[in-house]
Amino acid sequence: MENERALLSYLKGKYSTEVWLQRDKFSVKDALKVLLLDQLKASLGAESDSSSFHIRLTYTKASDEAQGASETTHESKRRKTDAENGSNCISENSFEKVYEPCIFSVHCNRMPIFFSGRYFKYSRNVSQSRWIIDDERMGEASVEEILGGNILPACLGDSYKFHAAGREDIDVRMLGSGRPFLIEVQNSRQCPSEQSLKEVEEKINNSEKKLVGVKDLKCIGSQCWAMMREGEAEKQKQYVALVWISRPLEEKDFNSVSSLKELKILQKTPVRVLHRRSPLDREKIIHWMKIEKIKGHAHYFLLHLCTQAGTYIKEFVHGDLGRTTPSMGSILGCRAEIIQLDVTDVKMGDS
Amino acid sequence: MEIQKPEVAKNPEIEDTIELTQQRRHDEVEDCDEQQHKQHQAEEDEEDELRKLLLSDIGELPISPPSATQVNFVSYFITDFTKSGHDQYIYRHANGLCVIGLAPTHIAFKDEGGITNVDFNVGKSDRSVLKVSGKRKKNALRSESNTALCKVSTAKDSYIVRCCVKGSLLEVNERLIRQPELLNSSADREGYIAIIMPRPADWTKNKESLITLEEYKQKKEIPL
Repeated sequence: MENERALLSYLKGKYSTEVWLQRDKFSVKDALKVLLLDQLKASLGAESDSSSFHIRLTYTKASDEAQGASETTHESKRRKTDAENGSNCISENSFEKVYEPCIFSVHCNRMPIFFSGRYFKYSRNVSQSRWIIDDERMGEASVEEILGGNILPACLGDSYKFHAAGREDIDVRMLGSGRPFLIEVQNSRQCPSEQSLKEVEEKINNSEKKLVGVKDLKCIGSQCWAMMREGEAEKQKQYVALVWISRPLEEKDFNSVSSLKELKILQKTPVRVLHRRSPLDREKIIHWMKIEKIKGHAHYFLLHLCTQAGTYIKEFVHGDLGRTTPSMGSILGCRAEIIQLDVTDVKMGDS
Repeated sequence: MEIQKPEVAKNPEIEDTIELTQQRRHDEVEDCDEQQHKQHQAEEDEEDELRKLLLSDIGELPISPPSATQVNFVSYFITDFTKSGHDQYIYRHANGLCVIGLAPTHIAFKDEGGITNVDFNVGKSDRSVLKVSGKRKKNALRSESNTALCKVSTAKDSYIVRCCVKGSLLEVNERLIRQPELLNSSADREGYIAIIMPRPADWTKNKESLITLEEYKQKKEIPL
């Protein structure tokens, strides 16, 4: 602090005629910024204003013994042309002799850009996000890597982050309307055109293995988080489950199931996630259900259901050792198992 | 199969487009109807495509598929634990949690009338009252393998059920208090006794005193 004051008084002496020095709250950092700004503007051919592109200049002490000010100047630039950044080094003008110049570094970064869309998952062996245990990948791919890995090169960015409105298990397909997602790209060098985004969509949708699909891919601004929140907690989800029961399906079962509207169920935290989640009793609502017979199989049927977000569907079918009540089994008075599950609709807003 | 589906769905859309071009020569009102028809058609196509995807994925349907327990848990057993005839199962989930319960050969099932009462008030506290909270499982009882879980009673006698596994007691099945008959009808599912979370190191040691399903069946001479 003492150094700062001493340096300021020196600057005031040297630049006493300058207008910007008359301001009250003026620090050494501000002085440095003003002195450098014009030179930078000239050599980069750009304006300085609030923008998404930042240049950070960092000056650090060469060694611990040297006593001197260490300054960081953070500037915003709107780039108009590509120009070489001239290197700038300030040598200490403090009150102790310094024998080495300080260390100077430049970092540029850009605020992240966002892409939104809906994804489909056609495979029962693809996880939503990258999932690695003991150096081994679980599943053969992830939605995150397929989407991000194709969008990133189109942006010439450094890295990406994947956000989705909810999630499904690795062995559950995401069909129907698709699930809303966001890809956040760090330090993109170019914003892809509508055409390149179309090409990214096509590349993913026409890939050989057809593990994942995507639609409505577009660049989106700050309203993206509001959009994601919409898809989360309050909304309804629709599923189709392949169910087995221990006794043959009967005529009365169709009605016993479809007559249950807004059915309240109580789910204890499922055993399969109990190791990492709080032991709680969660009340959920099954809005409606419908049984669809499968020809030639009396013990199997397709269960169509629409539930409150956050409902554990698998546990609703098999009962999770009686910890989800009522369950499909208790409603039909027999044992029930879930063979397969598909998500068919993630409702957002009015859809 | 799934790769062909978009092709099937596209054809009606192309037909719709041809229809629309022809309609442009007529009134605007008719154009609007076409738009609505096209949207309807597109929605129907989406539903058709969805149904095809749903139905095409139904594979083999065995008469009796494996249960959720068989798929998600590895079954272990311990026989004559601390006392003869005290046979219990330990179903271990992939996430490390262990579900504890009475094995079918437990001596309590041999008494006439089966199990009539379950009491969790054993040892120093009532296990059914414990309130475990949070991701870190605060307030869970740290149990040893011989820590008592509950006492099951029949018309004839009563038997102590123990943890068999060293770890944190996360939950006991308090439904057994009001419905002890669950043990008689489905001791391996709704009649489970408790859920314990062992530390990895404790489990590795514990595992040595347990036997597998095959070994259990052989030992008890149950037909495989």
